[in-house]
Amino acid sequence: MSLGHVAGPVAQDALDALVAQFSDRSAFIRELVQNSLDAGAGRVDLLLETDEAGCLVVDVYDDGEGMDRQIIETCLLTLFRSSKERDLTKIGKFGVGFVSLFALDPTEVVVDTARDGTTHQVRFQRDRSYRLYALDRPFEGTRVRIHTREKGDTARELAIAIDRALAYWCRFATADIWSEATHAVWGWDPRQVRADFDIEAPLTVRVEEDGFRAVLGPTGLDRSPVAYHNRGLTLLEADEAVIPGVGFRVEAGKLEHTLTRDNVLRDAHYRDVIDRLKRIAREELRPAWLTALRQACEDADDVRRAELLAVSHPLACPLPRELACLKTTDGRLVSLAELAPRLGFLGRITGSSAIHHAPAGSPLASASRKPVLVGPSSEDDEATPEMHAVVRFLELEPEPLSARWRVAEPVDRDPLLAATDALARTSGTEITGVRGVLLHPPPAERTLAFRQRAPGELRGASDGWGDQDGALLVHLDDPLLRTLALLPVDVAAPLLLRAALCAADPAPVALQANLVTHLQGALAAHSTGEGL
Amino acid sequence: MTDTAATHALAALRAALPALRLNRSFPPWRAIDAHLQALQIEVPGQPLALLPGTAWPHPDAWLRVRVDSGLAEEMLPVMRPLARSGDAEAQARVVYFEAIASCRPLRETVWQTRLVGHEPGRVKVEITVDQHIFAVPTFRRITLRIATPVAGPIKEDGHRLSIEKGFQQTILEAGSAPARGFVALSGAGAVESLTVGEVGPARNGVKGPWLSAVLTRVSTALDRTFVDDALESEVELPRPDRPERLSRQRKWAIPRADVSTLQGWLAERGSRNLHYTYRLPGARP
Repeated sequence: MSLGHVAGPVAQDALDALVAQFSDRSAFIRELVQNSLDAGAGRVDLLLETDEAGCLVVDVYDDGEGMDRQIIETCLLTLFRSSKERDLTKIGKFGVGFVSLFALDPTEVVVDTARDGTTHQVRFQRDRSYRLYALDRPFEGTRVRIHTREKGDTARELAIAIDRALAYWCRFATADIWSEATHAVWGWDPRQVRADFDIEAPLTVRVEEDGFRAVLGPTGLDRSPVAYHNRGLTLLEADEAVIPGVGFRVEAGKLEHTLTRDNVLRDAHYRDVIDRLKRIAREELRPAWLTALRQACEDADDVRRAELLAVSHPLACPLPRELACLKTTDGRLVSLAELAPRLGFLGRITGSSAIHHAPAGSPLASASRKPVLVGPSSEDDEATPEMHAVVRFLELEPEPLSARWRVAEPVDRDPLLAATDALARTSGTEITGVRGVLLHPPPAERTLAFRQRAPGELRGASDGWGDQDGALLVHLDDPLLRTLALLPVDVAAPLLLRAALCAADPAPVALQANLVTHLQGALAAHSTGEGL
Repeated sequence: MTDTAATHALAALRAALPALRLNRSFPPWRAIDAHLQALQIEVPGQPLALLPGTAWPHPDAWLRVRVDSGLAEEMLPVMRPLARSGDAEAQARVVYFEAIASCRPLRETVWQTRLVGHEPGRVKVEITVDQHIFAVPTFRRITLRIATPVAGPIKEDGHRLSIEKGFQQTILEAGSAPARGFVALSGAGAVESLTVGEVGPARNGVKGPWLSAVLTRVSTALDRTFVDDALESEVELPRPDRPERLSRQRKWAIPRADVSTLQGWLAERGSRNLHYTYRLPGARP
């Protein structure tokens, strides 16, 4: 039974402007799911299929409380009206969500809905005129069928875009959301759109109360990933400095979309939610983080300690000065107070204050009388949590210990070095022996060899490597040595001795360069069988 | 009914529950399903029994799950040494208590209060109470939307809303008699709607259980009273001189093979109750 109709377009200009607001054609799915949640739906089904002509049909069915004639006429068919106005238990506030589906430019939209024993159908035409019918059949909830003009690849692309939009906006929804496409080629079986209400953090706290749930975690960042939801529907996901050092996902009935649907209304309700989150961060997250960090230190759990240390933050998770939680190169844990005992005005360090870092186990560390923090193994590695902590809490940039000290570490002999050593001892030179060393870290002025009275001794960075006498030390990582190692030992040993003497004595650079050229030529000749 | 038949009925009920499409006016189906899942755990020497004449587990079984899951923590330390000593009965009980300990049984009553908004001198709220009355057994959600004076039975304390005990009792009683309950609740403020969603009972069908749910709504927004409940012919209606009206509809989840039987049964009662179908466990798609 037809209950009436509007023959022409409804407030065409206003409607066009409103439809244009939804520049993303697939955003309508968020609006329809939002309406379903507001109707108390426990389940929403998205079904994508094609009609006899191959055109995409989008079917959204929910089991919510549906609409009666009064709601249809005053809210669904009237722009800017909503039964949800000033209702904090509803997500939609503008009564415009339904209009968004006209961004698809559908040929027809059919809405079936039932409430309290009466069933109605509204059929919208392409010009947005409509007819309202009373149906004599039992029904439950609301079904919206959108007949589009999209065929072939464009139908497939639109279907995939709608499915993705559903997953992005609705994956935390409190209702069960399902998606299915029946197309024989590009369709998919029914699948539930669902994700855990969680965030990435080494530690989280959760609060769940009537109409409010939140999960917070420390990030160590001033701007952190945050997400706002209402009834699980995503309103906004972004990086924000709302609570410095804390990331969160929050769901509250008080949070609302802006009319343009690209942000959250930053109103009094929003501020109320943020105040609540700040209190949770202060009263629950901070103590939980500190307890976990203490426990990790106590358990000698380096992985856990490092990940908790990495998210420390002066405002959200401040590191207590006396807590020994920073790893040094010798494996100890030290506190900020041990690193920088002298605090001056406003807690700033005064006087000579350099704090050094070195790779774990570095032989350089023994040079320092102060604790040396564990630093990256190479320049390419990221700074360690210990270094971050010093920057954050002492406002100092730790310096690499290699900038201050150098060490040449003796290593086991190899056959070439043994032969060179024997040759040196019998050659009548003043050289007392040849030893292999590794330089920590590789100095900028890399050298093949140098003399040193005591192998392994530390030298100031500005002192250079060489002594005037002592053993001849050969750097095992030098490319020339690696080249010589390819030759027979009896050939390579005199060459190495000669080259090392040139490098250590110190020979003119040109002489070294000539020698290298000569050796490379000889090596090439050797490899082609021409002899040296 | 044999234990095996009861076990099959239970598995079928679990399939029927999601098929009923229970929206937020009903108690959360997943919580009920978790309890049904716990009922599937075999109890040593105690076969599962159904409520006579129904496909619904016996109230004793519903209650046992709740009690035993609470006892598990105390029982396990006692039973484990006995089980280790070779006591076969203790070993079986350890298996049972370990399984039941991880279950989340239904709580008897769960209250939620949400702020709808403020009106001059009044606070408007939506109160939801889930009741799981094992003795019947009935699984009910009462949803009340009401605006009460600021000094009334609902108190705001920061983010929390609390309800006076006496008013809580009035709400619970309204769940059993919505038409009368609406009048009683109106004494505390302006009632927008009182909705009662109940899951059950489950009848024995031909191929499997017919699980039903019924939704009753009383509201001044309704323009007529409408009742379609194939199980309940005597429903108390609002007095004609009152402004509110009542709507009550039952729906069913049945095995696919039972559709024509159900339709005939409904027709006999002059009912057009909505029905959904479910696949019996083990049945072919």
